[in-house]
Order: sequence, then structure tokens, then C-alpha cells
Amino acid sequence: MAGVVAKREGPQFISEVSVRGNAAVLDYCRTSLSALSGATAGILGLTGLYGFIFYLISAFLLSLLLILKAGRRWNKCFKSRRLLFTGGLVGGLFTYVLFWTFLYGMVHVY
Amino acid sequence: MAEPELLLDSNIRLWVVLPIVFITFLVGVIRHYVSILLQSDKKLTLEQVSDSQVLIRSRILRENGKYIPKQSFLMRKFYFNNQEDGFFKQTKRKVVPPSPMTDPSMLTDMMKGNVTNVLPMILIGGWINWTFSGFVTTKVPFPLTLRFKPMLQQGIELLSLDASWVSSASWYFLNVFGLRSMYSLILGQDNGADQSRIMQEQMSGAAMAMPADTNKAFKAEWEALELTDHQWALESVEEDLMSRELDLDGMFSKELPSGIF
Repeated sequence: MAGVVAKREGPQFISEVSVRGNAAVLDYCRTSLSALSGATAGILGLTGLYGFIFYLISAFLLSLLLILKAGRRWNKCFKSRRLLFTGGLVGGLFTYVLFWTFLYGMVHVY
Repeated sequence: MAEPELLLDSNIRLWVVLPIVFITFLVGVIRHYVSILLQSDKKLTLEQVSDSQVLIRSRILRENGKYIPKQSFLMRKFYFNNQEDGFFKQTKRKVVPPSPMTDPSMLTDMMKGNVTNVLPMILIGGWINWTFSGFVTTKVPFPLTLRFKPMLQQGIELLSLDASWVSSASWYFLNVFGLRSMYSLILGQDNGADQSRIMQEQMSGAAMAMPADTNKAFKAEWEALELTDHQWALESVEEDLMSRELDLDGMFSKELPSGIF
């Protein structure tokens, strides 16, 4: 992830391009994770509430891994850590439901 | 994991579920390329470019003025804001603000946006509903209430069927929503297939028509620059530097040839 902020006493210089690039990387990670976990949930045959809980658990695990990867100097790359937790959750949810339904149908209905 | 109570024909899987996925995905990709082809060239005049650059320069002066000496800052501020011949006071541009009704290029842009995004979705949804009607397509893995039945089971006339068994039209719409974020994986950022971003842009598009009115922008910038005061952040920089441990290791390379002699 590109470092965007030069930390000085005073206002920070933020490169717009890098902020967008970092957000794109986060989006990529979250979409891939939603797709894969949706596929897993479909194959495993999770239904109803278990499926949604699985999505929340996997999203939370992704956030943990991202925080680990960002390390101590996270404010070099992100304005706030909340973004790592909640960015793209709803979009990911749609992708998750799509893949979940798809593989559930493939494996269990047919 | 309860056994599903219906057993569906494998042909449905092969000829309905998979084609709908492909159709949705390919239509999205096509929409992306069509939007690239249909993009109208934005004509910028030299004056517009120089105006926007002047505004950027003034904004940078406001934000970073504290890093240059007071004299330099005042000199620059004087250039912009002087009563008689400051830049913001003097230049008046002839501006015709383009409203969406009168300016033809904006109107066609809006039309193109609407046509390429909403219309295919409706058309294809209707076609799929007509072609693949009358049978159950797949089961969604979560329980749905009976209120969803007329929406999701459009062609199927069974009263006792669980609302989780959906028709192909609802599978199509599920695809549309789910593949939206996949497009940014595959087509890269700023792709033309992502409807939600475009709808958000349309809602905030009213704010983007402002740069056309440069006179107002100049006036706003003049006021902001008037208000900024110079507070030199580098005032005690010599003492700060001297009071810290100077770590000069590795700052100068021995192989650096001197260019002077």
C-alpha cells in the first residue's frame, strides 16, 4: 500500500492518488474475500442465520489481517482505522449472497 | 442441514442458471466499453485551464503560507488581492452558466448516462422473465417471509411453495447486484459498468457544475485569501535544529564528485 502521509507537526500532506489507490486495494481484498467465503458457505450448505454469521466472521477476520498488515505505522497509509473495519461491507454482502446462492444451488439443489 | 425438498432438473442448472450469470456479466462488460466509446470529448479552453490553475495556486498559498517568510507571503497575497490591480479583483470573465436544459452537451451526457445504465437492465430483466418463466430456478439459502413470494416467484403459481425457491428474474437481479463489486476487480477502477457509483455521481453532480461560474469562484477565493493570516511556523527552526542530535551519517556520500572545481 502506498504511503501517503508525511508526518510533521502541523497539517499533513496527503496525496489524493495514493488515498484512492489504497481504497482500491482494500476494496479488492474485501470483494475477493466475499466471493470466496460465499463460495465456501454455499458448498458447506450453510443456511439462514449461519450464513450471515459466517460472513460477519470472515469480514472481521479480514479486518484483523489488514490491521496486522498495516502494522504500527498505519497512519502512514490510512486516515482512520475504522475504514479498515467497515469499508465496503454492504457491497461485499451482496457479492457474498450471490456466490452463496450460486454454489448452494449448484451443490445442494441439483 | 435439512435435505432440500425439491429436486430440480439438471438441465435447468445448465441452461438457465449459468447463462443468466454469463449474460449479466457480459452485459456489464459491454456497457463499460460502450460508455468508453460514447464519452463525449470535453472541450477545455486555455482560459479555463489557466483559471483553474490560478485557483489551485491561491489555495496552496493559503494552506502552506506559513512555510515561507512573511515578506514572500505578503507579496503573493498582494498580487492576488490588491485593491487596484489584484488578480482576483481585476479579471472578470464573461461567463454563461450552462444549465442542464440549455447546454446541449450536458443534456446528451445525462441522456447517455441514463440510457446506458438503466435501460439495458430493464430490457434484459424483462426478456429473461419472459424467456425463462414458469419454473423454479434456484433456492436462496436463507428463509424469506411470504411477503416476498409475489416478487420473487413471478411465473410460478404455487401457493404452498416456500418463498426461498425463486424464479429466474430474481436470480438475474441478484446477479446484477452481486456482480457490481466484481466489476471493479476485473475492469479496474472507474469502470463504466458500475451503476451504483454512477447514480451517486448523478446525485452529487449538481455540485460539479460550479466551476463554470469563475467569477463567483474568484470572489470566494478573494475572501478566503483576505482572511488568512501569516503565522510563521519556521520561527524557531534554528533553535530546534541545533537542540536536537544531528544524525548526519549516510547523508553525504563520499563518492560524490565536487562539481565546482
